[in-house]
Amino acid sequence: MEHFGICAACGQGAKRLRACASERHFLILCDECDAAWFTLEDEAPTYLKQPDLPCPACGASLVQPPSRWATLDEIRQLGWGDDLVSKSE
Amino acid sequence: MGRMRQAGHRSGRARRPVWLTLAIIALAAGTLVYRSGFDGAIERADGERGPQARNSSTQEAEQELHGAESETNEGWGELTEIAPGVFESTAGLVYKPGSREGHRIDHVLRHAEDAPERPIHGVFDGGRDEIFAVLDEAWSIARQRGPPVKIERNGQRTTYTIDMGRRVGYVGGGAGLRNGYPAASHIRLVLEDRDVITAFPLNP
Repeated sequence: MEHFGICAACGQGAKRLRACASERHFLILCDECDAAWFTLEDEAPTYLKQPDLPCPACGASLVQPPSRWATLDEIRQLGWGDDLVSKSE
Repeated sequence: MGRMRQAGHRSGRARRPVWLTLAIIALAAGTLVYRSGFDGAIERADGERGPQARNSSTQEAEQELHGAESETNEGWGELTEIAPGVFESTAGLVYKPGSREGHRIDHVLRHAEDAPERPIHGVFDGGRDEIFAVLDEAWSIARQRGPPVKIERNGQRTTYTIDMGRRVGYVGGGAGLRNGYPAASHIRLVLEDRDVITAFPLNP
C-alpha cells in the first residue's frame, strides 16, 4: 500500500493519493476518515461534502467509480514518489 | 339435661379414642415439624443452599447497583432504518451510505478484523453486534463530556476519543504486528453531527 504517512486528523488512516472519477485530478485522501489535502505541505485538512466527496477541481466523486487510488507509477509521474512513506513495488 | 350435656360432654372428651388423640398430636407435631423444616430450609439457605441463595441475592444487589446502567445498556447497538439506507443506533448514532465500502456500517466493520497491509488498524473485540453496542456505549459516555473523553472539533467534523476503562479491542495492522498486538482501551469516534464517519479502537 502506497501512502504518505498516518493521517494527523484521525491518527489511524493512511494518507493516499486518490484519483477522482474524472481521472483528471488527484487529491491526498485519508483512507479512514476522508480528510483531504491538496498538497503534502498542507497541514490542515479539508473535509469534502459527504457522501460523494466531490473533487474540488471538477466535482467528480472521489468515492464512486471510476475514482481510485493512484498507482505507484502515477505517484512517481506526479513527482511525489520520494514522499512516500511506504510503497509496494 | 344440662348435667347430662355436661356429663355427656365430659364423657365425650373422656371417650375420645386414643388413636384420635395421637393422630391430633401427630398432626399438630407434623405441622410443627413441617414448619420447622420449612424454616430450617430458609436457615439452611445460607448453608446447604447458600450459594444459590447468595447468587440470587447478589444478582439482585447487582441489578440494584447497576440498574440504571443495565437499563441503558439494554438494546444498545440495535440499528433501525429511519430512511432508505439510513440507520440509527439505539444511542442515536447515524450510519449512512458513504465511504469506499459503500456504507458507513461496512466502513466501521472493517475494524472487525485485522488488516495487516495497513500501517495501523484498530480491531474491535467481538462481532458485529458487540461492535455497534460498544460504539453506542462510547457515544453515551462522549455525550456526558466527562474526563474520559477528549473532543476535537474542525468545522462540521468532531472527533471524540473515549477512554472505555477496559479492553475493547487491540491494535493491529503493521504497528500492531511490530508491537505484539497491544490491547486497546479507547475508542475514537469521528462524527459529522451524529453521522458516523468512522470509529475504531486505539491506544492514544
